[in-house]
Amino acid sequence: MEQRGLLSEIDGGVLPSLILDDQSGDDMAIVELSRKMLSWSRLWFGSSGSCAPTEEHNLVRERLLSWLRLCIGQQASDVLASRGEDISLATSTPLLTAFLGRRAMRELSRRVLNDL
Amino acid sequence: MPRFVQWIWKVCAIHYAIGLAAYLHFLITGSYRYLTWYFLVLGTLFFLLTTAAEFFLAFECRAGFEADEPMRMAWTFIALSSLARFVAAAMISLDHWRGASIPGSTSSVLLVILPRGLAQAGEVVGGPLSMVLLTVALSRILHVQRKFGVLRGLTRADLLLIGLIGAILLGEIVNIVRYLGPSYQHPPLTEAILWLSDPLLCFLLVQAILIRRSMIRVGLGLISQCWEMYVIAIVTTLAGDASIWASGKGLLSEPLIALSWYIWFFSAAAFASAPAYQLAAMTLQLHEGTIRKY
Repeated sequence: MEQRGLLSEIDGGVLPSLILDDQSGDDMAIVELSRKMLSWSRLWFGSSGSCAPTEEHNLVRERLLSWLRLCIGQQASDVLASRGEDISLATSTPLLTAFLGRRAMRELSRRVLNDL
Repeated sequence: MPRFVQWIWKVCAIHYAIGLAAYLHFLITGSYRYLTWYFLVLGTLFFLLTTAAEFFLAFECRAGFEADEPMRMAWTFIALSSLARFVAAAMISLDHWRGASIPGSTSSVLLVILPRGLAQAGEVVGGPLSMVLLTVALSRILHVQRKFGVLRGLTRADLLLIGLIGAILLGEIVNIVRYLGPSYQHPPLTEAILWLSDPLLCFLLVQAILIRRSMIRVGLGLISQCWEMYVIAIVTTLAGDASIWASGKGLLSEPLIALSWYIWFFSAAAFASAPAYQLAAMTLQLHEGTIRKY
């Protein structure tokens, strides 16, 4: 109980599901974490054939395409597409990092994922 | 167009407008008075300003990459190349003021303290040395482009042009070997190094063609425009070099010789705006109409 109180004291907003009873709380936290991990990995790697692209996927793709066009060129997406890859943060990161640097790419990723 | 690039071309346009007035005065009166003043004072200031801006911007680009990133090395050499051009512009202008002996002015002091041959040393620093540094940088860029599949193969026209450049290079090498032979006096070291300018420029042009091919493939983004500016700068430098050769051979009339001097300002502005495009991309500058909300 003391530990639960401490966790909610640390950050109630981040860990709301932990303020439950011990056993079900752990399970739910893992489920919640898995759900978030899956959601972020889908955003990072883009939509695959197994699942339909969501509105968030499309937004990330659109933002990335805008940055690719601005920084590299209009046909930058074609270069990635020619390698059989869809536009996602995972596929465009190596190219953008090479020409912009890691620092700029970190900021770009932050802007692409902003509000999602 | 990024802010720094706008500034560079605005300054260049103002500089050309003043130069046009000086040139028109020369055409009408035949006097070199204002033309000489324009090239020696404003021209020198323009070269110092653009090369300093290029060095600052290239150094900022370099700072944007971490130590283990391949592009950091490329930008280090570009920054050094621009520094070499800045030092050369300073050396050549100092040599001019050293030579201009105006009674009662500080130039007489310069005559004593500055070594002779400063201009030729400046030409070596701003010519072959700067070109070698840029060649290393462009080689690095080509390596990165090849790694990411951006580099495109050469077309027949490219191969033809490279063949032509190769033939010119061969001619240059034959000439250099002939001048080093027993029938000619041994040239001073600086002069011998300056002979390397044309072969180096030709090599830079081949690299520029390769980079330009890749840019056409990806379209004109900020990074592509950066390399496009280097291509323009190298081509205009080559054109300036060709005009010096044509003037030496007496192929150009007096007004055309004076007009050909103006090409160097365009080249300097193109060199300075190249890193400005790269920096705009690295700082993720937003431009109206390109990216609306992010």
